Amino acid sequence: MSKFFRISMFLVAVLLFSCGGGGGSKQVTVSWSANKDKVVNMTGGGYTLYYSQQSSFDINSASKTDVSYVSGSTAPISTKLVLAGGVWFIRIAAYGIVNGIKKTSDPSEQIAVNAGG
Amino acid sequence: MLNKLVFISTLLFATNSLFAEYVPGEVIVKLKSSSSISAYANVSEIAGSDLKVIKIDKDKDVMEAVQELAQNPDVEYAQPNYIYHISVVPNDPYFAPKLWGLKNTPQNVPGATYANNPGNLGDDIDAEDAWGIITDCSSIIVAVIDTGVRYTHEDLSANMWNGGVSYPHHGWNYHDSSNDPIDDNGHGSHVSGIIGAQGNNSKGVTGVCWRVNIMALKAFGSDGTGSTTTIISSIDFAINNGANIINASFNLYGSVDAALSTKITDAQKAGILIVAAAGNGYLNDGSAYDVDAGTKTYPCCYTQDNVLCVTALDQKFQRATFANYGATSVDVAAPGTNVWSAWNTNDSFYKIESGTSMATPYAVGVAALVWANNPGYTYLDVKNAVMYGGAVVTSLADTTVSGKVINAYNAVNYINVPRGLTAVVSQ
Amino acid sequence: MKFFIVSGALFFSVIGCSCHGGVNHNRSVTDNVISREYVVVIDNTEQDPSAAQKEIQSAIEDCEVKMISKNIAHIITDPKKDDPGLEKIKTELSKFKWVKSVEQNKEVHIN
Repeated sequence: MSKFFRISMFLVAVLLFSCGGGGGSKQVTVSWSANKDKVVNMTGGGYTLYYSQQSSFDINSASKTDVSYVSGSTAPISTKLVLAGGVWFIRIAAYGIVNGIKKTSDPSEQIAVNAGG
Repeated sequence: MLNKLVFISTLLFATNSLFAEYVPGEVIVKLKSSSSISAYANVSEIAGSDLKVIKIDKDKDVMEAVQELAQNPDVEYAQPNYIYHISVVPNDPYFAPKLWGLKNTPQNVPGATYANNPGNLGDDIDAEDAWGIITDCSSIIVAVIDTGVRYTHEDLSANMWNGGVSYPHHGWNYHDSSNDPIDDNGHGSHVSGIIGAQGNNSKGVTGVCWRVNIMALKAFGSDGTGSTTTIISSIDFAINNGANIINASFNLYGSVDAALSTKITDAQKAGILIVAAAGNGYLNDGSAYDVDAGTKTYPCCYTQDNVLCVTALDQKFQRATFANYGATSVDVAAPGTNVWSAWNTNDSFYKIESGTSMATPYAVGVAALVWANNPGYTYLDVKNAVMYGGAVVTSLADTTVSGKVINAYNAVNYINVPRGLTAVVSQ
Repeated sequence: MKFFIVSGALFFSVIGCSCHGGVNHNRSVTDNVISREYVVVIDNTEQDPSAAQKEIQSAIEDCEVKMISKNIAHIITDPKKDDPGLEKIKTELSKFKWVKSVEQNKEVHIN
């Protein structure tokens, strides 16, 4: 096999493996409506996303990401998660500082998203 | 803050309070002399005492850790690190001896006509703790659709809605078609006083809100009777004049009234929360029934989400024998027996009454506190805070939607569950 | 003829005042239904309220019609005349597509 041919085949293989499918991670944009609670939309406030590949999961055993208030009138209302292929279940809660400690709302019902694969 | 008596009050222990709060992940211990805690790594001193704070895993249940540590032979006692906060007590003379719904001491309420008096310590709406956060609802307009209001009463006059030159008597009288909604029964004044009798004015009672704007809409006559048309007109007035909350301590029994339902929807579109009484039996016969199984009552049973329906509890937080219930229609409970408030006899007259009519304005008052504290809220946020920020009462589990009694402190501190969650694969 | 028209109008304006200017002393209530009084929901995006008031007034004989809000009319029939009843009024108003419901006015109680 010529050197040129081997290099070409190698490059094709790299392209095939990097171009999605076959269980690769996907970026998922998660969005929600803004809470109107004062404490969520100020320093110390924000949202927590819980996600799992188990339906009806317990949030205490799920992966989680905080989306914190930074500045302005509201905390962010979307974020991007990088998730491995398959179906994921996501829930969200809001939090803020109440009486000096972090208080979190009950979590929402779950939604499902298929990250492919 | 003038004239306020401020007490640092100890939070009640779990047996007495439905909401004992403590710092997660921490336990306070007192060691027996010359003992040491060796099993726990994260131990710190409390300055000026011989107590220690042990940090435990944040996910571990604090009460479980307390019990485990209490078994430790080195430990004299263990307890959670309780959270303390400011309570605020008004100087109104009837507050302590009469207003069990705001603070249950448990006082023997004078002039009581309903049983279970005195009641249970702590069976109240935690008003003092809520007042440590907010007392002033003067950013909120509450429309009281009732027999009118004695707007010259010493405990109401400062809290009446300012209708300007158009409405010099703070509202309208649709029963008699005049601009004067003066109360000729007493019921409307009583309800108004529960919501917002002026607090801390050294007179009479205090409302859940110490300051508020009460819009008087007289839809009922001296005999306590009104009609769907007078109520519809009153709701329209409330919509057109910026009311945030409507107190509906009345009941229409039977089939759905389409016109009244239309007006409820109009109020919903205007962002108004309607708080309605569950009723005292059928046509006030005093014999409570399940409104989901029997004759419906409105506005309580309307399904629009801007309606919050309230049943009544007594001083031991048992549902009153007259108070209707329903696991689908009746949302929450509130104090409703042996309630002292303003009356229309003269400007310094107060009276005791019982009914779901009295429970409803307690929920209205809490809703007003919540909304004043979170001005960006929608009516749905407020409703959720009032319902789900309540305290669990076991007996209400199958008889109300929330299974709870309203709790002012927790409602004011409630954080709504986020809505509208979506997820889209973006790349 | 003109005399009768004028006196009839005067007579009815007095009745109208008492009917819509305060408590209807001719009112009777059976099973929480107030006799002679009807409540009509209209779609005020399909018909202007004042036009609706006039059309309802014309369609139902011997009554007073008042718009108590932009989308709700209150009808009180003349106590000196036979009351047409709910079904007749529904039938008369069914020709208007902007009429959404017709019911009797009902009694409500504080509790």
